[in-house]
Amino acid sequence: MRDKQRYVLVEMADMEGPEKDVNENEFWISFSRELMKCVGEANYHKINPKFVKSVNKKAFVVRSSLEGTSDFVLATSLMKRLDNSDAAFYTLKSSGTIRALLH
Amino acid sequence: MDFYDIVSETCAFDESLAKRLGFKKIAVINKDITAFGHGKQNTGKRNANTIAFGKDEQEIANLVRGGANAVAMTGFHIDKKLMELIRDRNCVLCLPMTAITASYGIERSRNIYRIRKLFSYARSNGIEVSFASMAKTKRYLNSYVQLIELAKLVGADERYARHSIGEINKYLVNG
Repeated sequence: MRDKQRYVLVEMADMEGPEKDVNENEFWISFSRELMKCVGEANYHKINPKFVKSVNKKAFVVRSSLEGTSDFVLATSLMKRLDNSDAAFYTLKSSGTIRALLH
Repeated sequence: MDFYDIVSETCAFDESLAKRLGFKKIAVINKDITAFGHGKQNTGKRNANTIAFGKDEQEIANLVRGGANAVAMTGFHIDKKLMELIRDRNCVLCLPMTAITASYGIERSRNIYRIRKLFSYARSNGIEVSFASMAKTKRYLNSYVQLIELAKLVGADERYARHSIGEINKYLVNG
């Protein structure tokens, strides 16, 4: 049976300091690591996050399982560091389809 | 439903960010909302949008008696007499979510526990509770969905969280 999933639009806040040029893969590894710190190893599987696509330099889409969407949104509000530098993430909206999310 | 947030006067943001975060308005303390406490006394008149700040229960009690219509506590200690006063004066208890988002580790867990206790006590005694980010910088701002999840973290159900961030914050922002 297929699991129900949600797509979440996440925006990274502008922070002071030099902009780092990182590729999507490196960014996603750092993001997942921080996410795991906030939700804990035992709960990470509930979210089952997957990087879907970048919308622009600051916004990106993450797919999460339906039951873990609340935990994902909460965790993003608690994530204030990324790779030892200040960061903040805003979850702007969530939807069942990418098309509806980006419309 | 329209949602409203309240932030500290040091938080710099633009209107487009407020819209993207899903808020109709993000009110700034000392600009859109009058703040009392920390030595700043109120006039004694009950104004529509005034918040009393303070860690000391006695100071907060004096400010509530003086006419503040919301109370933002940073200590999260449950003072039964102060709670009775807040309820009798129909004041709103404002819980700053920055206490959770701006702390780490044990300190964060402790703040979640204290805020949960305070929220539970306030609601069981009929006090209306407002959830606001009270962010000092853009780093501690939240979108309305994040604010709802934070409210749920401290014990609110989805319906009350929406009512709080919508109706109660609107009352505090617009009067």
